[in-house]
Amino acid sequence: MSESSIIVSDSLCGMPDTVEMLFTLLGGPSIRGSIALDLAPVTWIHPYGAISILGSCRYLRQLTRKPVRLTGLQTHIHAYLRRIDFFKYDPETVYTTDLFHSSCELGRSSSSSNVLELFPIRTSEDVYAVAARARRILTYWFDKNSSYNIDKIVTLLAEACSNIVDHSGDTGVVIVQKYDHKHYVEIKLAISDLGRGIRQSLIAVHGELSNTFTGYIEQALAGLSARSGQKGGQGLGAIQRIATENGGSLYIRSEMGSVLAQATGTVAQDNLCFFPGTQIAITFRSLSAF
Amino acid sequence: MRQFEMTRLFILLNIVGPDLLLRNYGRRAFPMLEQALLEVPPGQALLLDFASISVMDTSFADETVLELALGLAQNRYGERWMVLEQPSPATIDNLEGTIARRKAKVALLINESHHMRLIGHVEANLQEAWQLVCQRGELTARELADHFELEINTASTRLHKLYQARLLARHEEITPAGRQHTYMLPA
Repeated sequence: MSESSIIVSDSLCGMPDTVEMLFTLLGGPSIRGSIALDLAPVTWIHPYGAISILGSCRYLRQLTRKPVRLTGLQTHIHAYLRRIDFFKYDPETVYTTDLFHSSCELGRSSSSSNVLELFPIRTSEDVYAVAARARRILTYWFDKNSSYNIDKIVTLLAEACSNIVDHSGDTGVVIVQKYDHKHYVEIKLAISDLGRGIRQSLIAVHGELSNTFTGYIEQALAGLSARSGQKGGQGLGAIQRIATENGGSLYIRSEMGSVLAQATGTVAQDNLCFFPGTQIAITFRSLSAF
Repeated sequence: MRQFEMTRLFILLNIVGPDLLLRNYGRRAFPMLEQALLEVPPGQALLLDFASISVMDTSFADETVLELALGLAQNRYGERWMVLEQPSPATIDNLEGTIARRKAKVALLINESHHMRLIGHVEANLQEAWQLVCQRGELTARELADHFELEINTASTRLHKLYQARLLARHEEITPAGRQHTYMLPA
């Protein structure tokens, strides 16, 4: 069977709702056999875009039972994907035949890097490992007086990744990247899994609670736990609190709904294209000097 | 005061520091911390030393510190107290967030550079009574009543609530006027 090509628009660097355009490409009748994602129009990728592309490849692999080929990669996009270990994730899921010259490779020095590469999360040990790794690189990103910021980011990372281990039933992935602005440092974290999603996790314990996907996300944010008993449900609320301080945000997408939380309030969106599991984009802002 | 260095949990739980993370690890740590509390002689406090702990996340805190605090307030551990020694600012934020999200009516004693304070759920009138005990070192209901111009019963109730919440210790003596309690920070 010949390869079908899906052209990906330049939507991987915007807000998470812009990345939504990617998911709309995945449900058509052409999704069978070998698939190539043509990234020629893509000029920039943010962490959430990267994990969304990876998640899309994983999903397409599930649907077609074949690895997905990325093609049309602009050199700097190719370099970025290599830098974040995108193609090391699983060659049975995604690969590229685009040529790449080693002279275009991006540096990997801890002291100069702005990214913590894609890290698979499956077990609690993985969460500790990524937290330790993040802490090491965060000490380069922030000055020595910023232990508070570093500790908060480690908390964000641990709480977000623990949901993969505890609830998703899948191996997820996380990536962290730093962006320097004039008056603040912005850290973007993106976490993704193709597990059972927030709605199913809550239904399993509490039964039907809402007739919308966003209803379940909002319940989770409010502290409803997918664990039976009184404890649990701390993670997403903690992430929201930390992320929305100082102008940051938390975006959660699960199956067909999404919620964006900022200090000014939340915006919920339903009737999105179905995409399995849960995808999270966290923006943390530090106002202190770096 | 007996001390438990929280860094011991790194070895006991077989994790690499400097963070205490995740609910399932907290669940494993709880019996160890509970045992440490029960080994404290009655009338004394367990000091949880957070030196070299960068952050305890909300889930770990929920399974450990908050559970112990609830148990103390429910008198499950008798005449014992718990003080958190120098938790990091991020850990304190996580503890406060955990208490708030669980809507738990519990507070914690925090010792920072020899300065004690409360975090968590404490009503304003109890907070000010507790502050006065801190300032004076020890206090009776009569002294609290006189300071804030309260009825003696009101003052006595406030101090008793703080004692029941394990935020204050007390010493009882029999005086010509009857039984009198003197309240102080736990030793």
